[in-house]
Amino acid sequence: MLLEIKNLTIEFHDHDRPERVVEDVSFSLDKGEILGIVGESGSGKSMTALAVAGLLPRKKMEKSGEILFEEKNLLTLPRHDLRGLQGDEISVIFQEPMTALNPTMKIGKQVEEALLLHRHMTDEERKAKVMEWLEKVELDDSERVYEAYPHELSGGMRQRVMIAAAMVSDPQILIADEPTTALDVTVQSQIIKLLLKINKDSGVSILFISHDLSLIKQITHNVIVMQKGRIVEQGDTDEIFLHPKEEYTKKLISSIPSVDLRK
Amino acid sequence: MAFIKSIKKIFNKYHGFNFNAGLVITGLIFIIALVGCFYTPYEPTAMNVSIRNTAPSLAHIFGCDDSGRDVFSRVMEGIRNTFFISTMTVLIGSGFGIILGAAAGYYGGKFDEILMRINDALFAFPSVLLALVIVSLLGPGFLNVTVALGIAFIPSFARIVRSGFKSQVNMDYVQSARLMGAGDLRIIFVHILPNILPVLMSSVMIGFNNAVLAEAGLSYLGIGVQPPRASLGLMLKDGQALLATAPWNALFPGMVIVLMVLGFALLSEGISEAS
Amino acid sequence: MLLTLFGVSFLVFAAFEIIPGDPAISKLGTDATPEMIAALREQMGLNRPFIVRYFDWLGDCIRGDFGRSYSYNRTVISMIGDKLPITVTMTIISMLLVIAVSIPVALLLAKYMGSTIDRAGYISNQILMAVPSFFLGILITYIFGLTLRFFTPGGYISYRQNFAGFIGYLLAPSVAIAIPKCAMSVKLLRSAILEEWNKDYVRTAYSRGNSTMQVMYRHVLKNALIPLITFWGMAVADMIAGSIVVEQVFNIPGLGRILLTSISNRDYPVVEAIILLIAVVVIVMNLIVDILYRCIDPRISK
Repeated sequence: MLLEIKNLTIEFHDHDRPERVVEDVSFSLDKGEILGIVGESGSGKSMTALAVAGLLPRKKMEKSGEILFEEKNLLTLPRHDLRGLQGDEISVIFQEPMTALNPTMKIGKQVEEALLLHRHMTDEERKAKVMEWLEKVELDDSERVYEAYPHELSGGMRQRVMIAAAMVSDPQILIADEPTTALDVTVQSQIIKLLLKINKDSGVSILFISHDLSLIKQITHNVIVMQKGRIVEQGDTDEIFLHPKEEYTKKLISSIPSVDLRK
Repeated sequence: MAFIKSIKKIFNKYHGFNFNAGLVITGLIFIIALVGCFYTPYEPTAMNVSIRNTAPSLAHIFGCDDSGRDVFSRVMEGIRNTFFISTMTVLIGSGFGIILGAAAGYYGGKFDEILMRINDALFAFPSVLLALVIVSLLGPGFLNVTVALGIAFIPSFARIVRSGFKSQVNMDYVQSARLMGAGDLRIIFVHILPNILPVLMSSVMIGFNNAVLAEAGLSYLGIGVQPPRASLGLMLKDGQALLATAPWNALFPGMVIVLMVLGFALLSEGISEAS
Repeated sequence: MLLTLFGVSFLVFAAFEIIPGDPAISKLGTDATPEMIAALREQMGLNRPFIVRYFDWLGDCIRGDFGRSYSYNRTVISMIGDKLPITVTMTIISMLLVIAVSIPVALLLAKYMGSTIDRAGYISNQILMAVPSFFLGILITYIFGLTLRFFTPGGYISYRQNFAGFIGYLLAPSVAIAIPKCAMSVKLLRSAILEEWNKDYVRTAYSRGNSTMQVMYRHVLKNALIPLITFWGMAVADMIAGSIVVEQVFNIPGLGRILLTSISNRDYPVVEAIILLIAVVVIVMNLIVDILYRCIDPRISK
């Protein structure tokens, strides 16, 4: 078991009344597994993902439970040690490739940043590694992309760049927070295929957050259904889609536009 | 009517720290200016050699200058003059600025092109410098400085109003007003102008802020308000020579300038904060 | 850009044409005979048509010949050339001060966002922005010159005599010019940093294991400086205008003094030359801002 979350609870404290956004969530992620978390907006799925990535603010927020990675609890790990894992062992790709990249920094510099922060490498080694990943994410003309700025690339290309930047340090966990929501349908399926290929080739575990059940069904091994901060149902993806136990899950599944029928 | 309503809306909307602090400071100074029109503790020009350069006391709270004139009374007159000049400046600047900017932004085309070329050329100059040139053409003096500053402030107002109109002119409500047969003037003043009022209000306050600074600067250089009239800038100029012996002559007028500018700056901040 | 310069030069020339008052009369005095005035007008070239004189003048200006002063028997260029280094040095020192001080202060305020330091910084910023630089000059003279005796008020040292002393004397006026602009820069930069701080790429940077300091210096600062460049470009023109006034406070014989004496003497060639010069500086600054923009913000390029 690579990652284990035990009784995770997250409370916001910036309003008069504390607000529970995640309540008593437990699950685990195995090596090479693709685990989906699905739910409507406000279900706490993104909060859970950000907590695993260590990206929740420390102030104004109370977190309890455990997030265990390599026997370390990420919730209580000192900041410095947490930073050592971020971008090295745990990487994230976000929803909006348009804004998630720094507009004034060249693509090459952004992709290599994780290596710069976590590895001792010469400039040449780093560049070789970056070029390798720009090619792995199927960016044509990778030399040009290396020298380009984000605004010169399309949305799909930027998301590929984000994936390259996340994978360049060979992390064990890749958190994908709605990585295709902002993209066109055709680009979306390309990115999904790419993620599947990367998972197969490098054995990275993927925590795939989405509100899109048909996507979840296509790519994940296991799935967690969340509603209002709580887990409604979890288990094998095919099993849950065939025999949902809870009413909420059934409702969600029945609301999928029937992609399969159109095929 | 729509005009008054949107002004009311602005005032109801703003309760921030900046706006309130600005309102208090500006209000206080405005009251002093108003009182200064009818009453000053002493005659601002009355000289009394026996109390030359006396330090601040209960009788003369800001002290006396080298002719034995009461500094506080002169500051009151200075505030009044500065207030008058900056109000006139802003009125001239914003009045012509609105007309030119609205016409350029609303009609666009060649007229806009030419007007904005000239405007850009003038805008490149700091307004103090522009006013300095105009004063050098008109000659120094109270009214000339007012006119000079007013003219110098037109470009910046025109620019703001123009860009406001440019952003509004293609909006649906303008189109529908046009379909209903509203004339250009009606659309400009009744429909569009109230919508850019928050921006305009904020820049009017900045205009006051800059006008006070510019007037003080010109008077300090000796080409603004002429003696024996009092002006805050002029008092600074005269007070500077007495800095070693009677520093209150320069310090109090200077601090009043700071307060005036601060008040307008806070008001402008408060207005733009809430919109 | 050249068009703007052309427009400015035309406006300047035209403005000095329409004013009442004959420079020939003011040069000779009121008791000159009409014949003397006519002769002088002929000699000064005042009888030719307006447009001809304008293009003559413009052509001369481009060649660096701004004509002769009406009041002094000197060429304008020799009068200005002397004083230019003073104003230029003062503006450069002020600009360097603004940049060198505002960036660290804004970083500090942004770091302690919402704390007492931030609030105190905000209030002192608002106050400093409201102090006109000539009053600051007077305050500096009073505190550091008269009370603490760090420098002698009015004791200007020419750059020809002692360059170090010259820079030393210009320091106080430069500070006076710089402080209000510096306060404004701090305010702009602080809010630019906070705005950038809420952008998505900051979260991305954190997700790669950057510390807060690294996020600030590697990512946010460069983006936040973009709006500041425009402001600094415009501030240069303001600082030149400010220096004209502040020169009077510190009794410095720079451009400001000639401008003022020329204005009161109706010495138009000198006034025209100075205005034109400032226009050139402003336009060149715009050009530099444009180039800097292209360097720092890759999104703006043709």
